[in-house]
Amino acid sequence: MTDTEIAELMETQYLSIFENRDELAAACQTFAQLNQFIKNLNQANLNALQSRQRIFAVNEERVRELFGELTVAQQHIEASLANLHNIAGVLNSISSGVQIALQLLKPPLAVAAIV
Amino acid sequence: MHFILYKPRRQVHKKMGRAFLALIALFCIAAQTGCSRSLQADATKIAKAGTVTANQMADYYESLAQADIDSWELESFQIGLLGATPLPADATPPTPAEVALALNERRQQVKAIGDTYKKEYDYLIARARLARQVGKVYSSFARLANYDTTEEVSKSLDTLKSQVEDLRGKPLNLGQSIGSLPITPENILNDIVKELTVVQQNRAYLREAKRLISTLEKLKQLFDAETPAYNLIAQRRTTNYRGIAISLVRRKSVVSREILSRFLDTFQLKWPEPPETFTDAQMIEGVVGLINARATPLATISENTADALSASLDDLISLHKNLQARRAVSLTEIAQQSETVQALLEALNKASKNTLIPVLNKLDR
Repeated sequence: MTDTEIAELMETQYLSIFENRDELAAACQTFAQLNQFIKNLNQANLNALQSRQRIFAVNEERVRELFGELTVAQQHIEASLANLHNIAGVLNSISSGVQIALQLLKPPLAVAAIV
Repeated sequence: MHFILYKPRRQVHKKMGRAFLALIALFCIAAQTGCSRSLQADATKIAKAGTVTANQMADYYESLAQADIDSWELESFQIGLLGATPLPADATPPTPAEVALALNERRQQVKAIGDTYKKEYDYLIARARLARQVGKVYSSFARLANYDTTEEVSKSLDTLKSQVEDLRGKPLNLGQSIGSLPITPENILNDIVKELTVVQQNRAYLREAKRLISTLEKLKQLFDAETPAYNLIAQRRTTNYRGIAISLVRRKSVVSREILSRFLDTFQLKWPEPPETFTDAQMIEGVVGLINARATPLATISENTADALSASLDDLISLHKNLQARRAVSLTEIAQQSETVQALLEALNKASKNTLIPVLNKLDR
């Protein structure tokens, strides 16, 4: 049986008692019977809740991993955004081209200045 | 001196001519890559869809966490009520020691139930935080998508051009043209840089969108695997709302006529004053039937919300895959799904806050 099947079964068991709780409690003839009935109802509830919780518990590691992945993903996006903001990468290429052009332009200008 | 001036200028022109040709070649290469269609609009759509889906998921998880709190409180009340069930008149009264022992055992059980609810509440809040983190990722993705790099680069290019012109002492214009188009190094350079910027920005969208696909798939697997538990939580809340209302009506503890007022108002029928509890067994069962009918949609709404959210995650993954394949990204389907989820979440919120609890409040007056 899967965790889900067990949880659903436990819930059905609890609900079968819960739905008839008023009638069952009213049918108790002694304090001990009433007390035992309430204990059984609580225990059935606890069983149902704990089995339901197992469905979440087995995924805890996945949740942590996913959170980590998302945090890293956000950091990557922020880094990409920073790269676009800091367009140095693109501009460096341009600057290199312009610098070459500038250097090509400088000698005659320098000579012209001497002249 | 003329010789000195002449030779370098000829070399300069020769080299600049080569550079100009290189720029044209680069421009042609960039144009031929086919990568120049900006994906900015599609990335913006994905960011919007992702933000909405993530926030709706978080709201849903928080609604389930609230359901756990409600259930715990209502069940504690129920146990209190049951403990006070009157015993037959001829039953032997319990000794003080028996009562003390019974109450102690009951307290321990109720505490264990409370601890279990608290643990589950923590699990649900952790998932809500996970969904909010998805929202943060898409918020960053939206800023990436909305950033206009081309404009920034154009500004920088203008600055560089001014610098070059300052150094040269005259405008940077070689005056060359191809065909009827006045193509100059300046506008070619501008176009190339803009083209490269679009390519770079597209790469950023594709890289980040791709990275998110596997995370979203895992998130959907988690959501689908846990959906039966979500449904159990929602059903339990409904059962408790319904159970407490029925218990109070059957105990003749509350005035339950308000539950029927909406129907009576249609015919301008009024209850006699002052308000009294129903004592007639048939009336009580009628009210119980109405409570049962009203409670049913609450669990169904929650289940439908889970299904619709799962479908939204599917749609979101498809949008990412469409972007990867450079297919058109359409928000039509996911927008419809989001509208459904939003309507269900609002109904769930309304149902849990405004249907049975206010009915109980009214009954309690």
